[in-house]
Amino acid sequence: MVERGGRKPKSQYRDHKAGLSTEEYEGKLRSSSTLYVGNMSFFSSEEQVYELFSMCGEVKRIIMGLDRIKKTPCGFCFIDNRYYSHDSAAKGIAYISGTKLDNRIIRADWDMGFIEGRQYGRGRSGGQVRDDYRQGCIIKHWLFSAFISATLSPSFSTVPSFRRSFLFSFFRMDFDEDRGGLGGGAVKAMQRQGVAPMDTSSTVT
Amino acid sequence: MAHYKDGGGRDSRKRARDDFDDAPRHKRGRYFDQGSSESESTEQKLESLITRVGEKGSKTLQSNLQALADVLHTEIGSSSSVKDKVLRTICFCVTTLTEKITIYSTLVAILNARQYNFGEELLEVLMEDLRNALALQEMEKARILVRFLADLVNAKVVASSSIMTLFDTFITVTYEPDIPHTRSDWYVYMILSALPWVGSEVNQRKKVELERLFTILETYMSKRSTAYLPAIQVWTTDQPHPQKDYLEMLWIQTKNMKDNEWKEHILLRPYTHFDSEIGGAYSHTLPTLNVPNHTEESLYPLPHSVFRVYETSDLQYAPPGYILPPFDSMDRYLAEETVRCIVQSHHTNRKECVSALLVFGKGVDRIRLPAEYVITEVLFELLFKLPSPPQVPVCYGSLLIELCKADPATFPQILTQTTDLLYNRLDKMNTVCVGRFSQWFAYHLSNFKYQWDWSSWSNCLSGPPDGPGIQFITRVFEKCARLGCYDVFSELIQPPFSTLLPPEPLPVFKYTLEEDEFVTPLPECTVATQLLEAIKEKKEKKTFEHLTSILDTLSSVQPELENDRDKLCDAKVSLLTHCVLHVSSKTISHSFMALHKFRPLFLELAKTDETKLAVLKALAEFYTNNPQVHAIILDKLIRSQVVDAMVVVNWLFLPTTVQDFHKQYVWDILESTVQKTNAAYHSATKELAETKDKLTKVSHLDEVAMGSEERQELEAKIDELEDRVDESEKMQKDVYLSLCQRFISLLGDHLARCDQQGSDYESPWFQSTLDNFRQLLIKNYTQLGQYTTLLESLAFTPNVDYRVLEIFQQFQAVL
Repeated sequence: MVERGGRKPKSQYRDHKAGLSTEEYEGKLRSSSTLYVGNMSFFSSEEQVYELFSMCGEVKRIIMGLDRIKKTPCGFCFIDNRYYSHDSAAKGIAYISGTKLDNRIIRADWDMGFIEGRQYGRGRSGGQVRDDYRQGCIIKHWLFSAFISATLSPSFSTVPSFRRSFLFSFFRMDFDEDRGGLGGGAVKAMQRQGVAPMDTSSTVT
Repeated sequence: MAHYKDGGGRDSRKRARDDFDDAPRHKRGRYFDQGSSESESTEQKLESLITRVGEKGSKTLQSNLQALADVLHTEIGSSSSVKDKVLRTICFCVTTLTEKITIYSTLVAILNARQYNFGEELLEVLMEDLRNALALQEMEKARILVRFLADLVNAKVVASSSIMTLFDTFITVTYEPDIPHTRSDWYVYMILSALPWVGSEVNQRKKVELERLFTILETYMSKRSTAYLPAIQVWTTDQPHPQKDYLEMLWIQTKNMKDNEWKEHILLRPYTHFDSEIGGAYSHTLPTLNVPNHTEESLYPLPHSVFRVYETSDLQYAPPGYILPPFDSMDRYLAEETVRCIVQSHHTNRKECVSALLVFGKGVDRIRLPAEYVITEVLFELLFKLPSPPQVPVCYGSLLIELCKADPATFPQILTQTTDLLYNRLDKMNTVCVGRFSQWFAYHLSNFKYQWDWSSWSNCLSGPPDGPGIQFITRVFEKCARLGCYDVFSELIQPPFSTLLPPEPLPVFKYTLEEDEFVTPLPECTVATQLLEAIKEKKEKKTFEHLTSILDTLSSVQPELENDRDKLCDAKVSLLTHCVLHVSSKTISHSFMALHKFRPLFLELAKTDETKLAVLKALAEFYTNNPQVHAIILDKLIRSQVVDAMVVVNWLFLPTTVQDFHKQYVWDILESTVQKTNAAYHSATKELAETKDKLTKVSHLDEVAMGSEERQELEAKIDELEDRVDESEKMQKDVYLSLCQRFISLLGDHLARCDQQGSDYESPWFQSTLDNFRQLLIKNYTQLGQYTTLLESLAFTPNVDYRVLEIFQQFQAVL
């Protein structure tokens, strides 16, 4: 636990399987040059991430997060900025985190450094854990469409505004379907290219 | 989502909901949870209060300041460590939250009025900071400190005679012989950029001294030469906006302010509300300051030119009656300067920055200033600043996005309008800025679903294919297709603009065996097929020998290479590069892996500059449609030392590459290569210095204890490092010299050819080459400075065409 009222941890993202204490973890972050990027579309390619993050300095390598089973991108990646180290990674957080890639607001955060094996999703289905929750929430999607039609009715405006925003936030986390980015076009592109496994670990390192 | 209890409480609920949209918060001022735990110290509380004062604008400022001063007054009396902390915090805030200096001077004023020695101690700390800043050449920090000291005259903390003495000390720098003009310019700039704050006060009290200062400044300004201006101007014409040198402009504005009885309307001056309280305060004399002497290593900020884009008629989205202050009025400078300060203080936190900018906008509403336009203009000024913007360009891009989100009723429209304005003046824009403009625009579009009415620009399609409009749109399309997915973006673009789309970024493998009606397979294809199979084989051992033996069969399919060993070697390397890239073309990671695996083979085969060049040629062929991956792989090849910077320079000046000099990717590659050369030299010298330090420490120890082994080791390392320094220095020198010579001959040939044919030499290709070359020189002035005599004697000789020589003269004038 973080002590109350103390300095807040530098990163909102945290690798819970790192097996480190909070102090050790934060110490690693302070000298880190690696970023974790989350909330990406499954269709965003490595090249696109390169393009975006090289604007903050030369990127050493990018490790795309893969579905453990299907070996396809599953919405996150690690960026190693080791050439210009901490500084360009900090720029990535300051300028790029919170802006859009493939029409999704991506999130960049400090990471303690990539270790082989972390590129795979840890969810039961092979993707990220958060996507497991999402799949279990089909009923919420149904609720959401009902909710949308409710918002369109004139009586909705009588709901106090803070309640309204609460309702929206309730669904927001789940209304994400497949993190499919731009939808139609991207899906088509994906089909055209074939869902190519991206796993590079089988190649000799 | 928030796993921890966040400080403040104010934001935590919002963050839990909105965490993806939240930029990381700045450490500053967010340390503690107000009044929650006993573990936080008073010092931290005070620090936070001081940092935050005035954050919300002027409404409650007066009472806030009063309350803060009350708290500080009691706490300062309690212990000296608290007092120390308060002094330090105020000094820190002044130099990092530069837009709030009048607020801090008021705070100091109140405290000084109550406790006379507080002001004195603060001034000591400030002067120490100023001395250090000047000595360490943190010139921007020094400038702000001088401004704060000047403002403290208004706050009755510093005596008006004292600030005039400080200005007089600075002005003596202009009399120093044999100094670069950047030094005297900056000292003059420090005076001029502080005068608007204190002008009215010293005019009342020290009129004679002020007049004398003005006379000296006048003489200095009239003697100044600004021959470098064309090199750092965004526009190639002074129509419709004159683009003066920064100092000249400020001088004109200062004179106008003086004629206007030192009136200005922008600055918030909270001390005026506390007249009764601070009026009777005792003001202090500043300790004397010695300006550090100029040395060979001293560096001063480069000059820049003023950038303007809006005219009065352009303010369509400002409320009626709102006008920009005239370009030569001090109000214009102060408005722009405030925005610059805010951006500089908060650029690491977009949300804070935007809210500070909006607070500024509300503050100047009283004088009907269209703040949105000023903000946008300044952001573009910073983005276009030559030779390089103060922060990476994406910083300004993300700020503009944030502004659009924060004020969706105004900023999107203004940005659309500005883009149109800039687009219509593209033919008059420095090519380097066109590049930045297109990159920004594409990045901006990528955040707004690529929505743009391209048809409004369709008139450019009837012009020549290398016209500025078409060139710009092509660049934007290319960047958009790189930021987004190519297939997705290309579907958004309708004819006739779809002709400007870049080719699909697919690799080109020319040794494919698939027969086509039009193409018969090349003779090397059979060898290539064997090679591909061998590369794909997982067995590691024997692979290299096996591959070499396959490559050796190349001479049998191309008998003409049999007798030419060099050519055969090139052909082998080229084939190998193609095949390795082809096998690994799935993603960049795959390519990196493959290059890493086959690096020993590359090193073995590509030993001469010629064969290294063959690697680069093959790479360029393979990724001709994908400049992004091309550049990334090239970087990797340099890093893994398969090729070196000199080879890249050779490749750049191949006729096939030279014809692409109007495209961005060539310049990206050049910049990254030059940067690596500089970095190699820098890191080698740094490491050498560190090791030498270690050695001296060890030698000291040696006398007392046993350390000879370590000493020997260090000595050996120093020898090694010295070699590395020499090597990297030589490489750096060779690269710069060779670049200059080749650019000169390239541009000279072009000019001679055009003169002979009687055609216009100012083609887009020529402009792009000239502009980029010039920026390359200025950008690397710290490294190039030591080679100027060498360049003068070996590259920029008097018989070089005057239109090229001009660049060098401007470069020398900048320094």
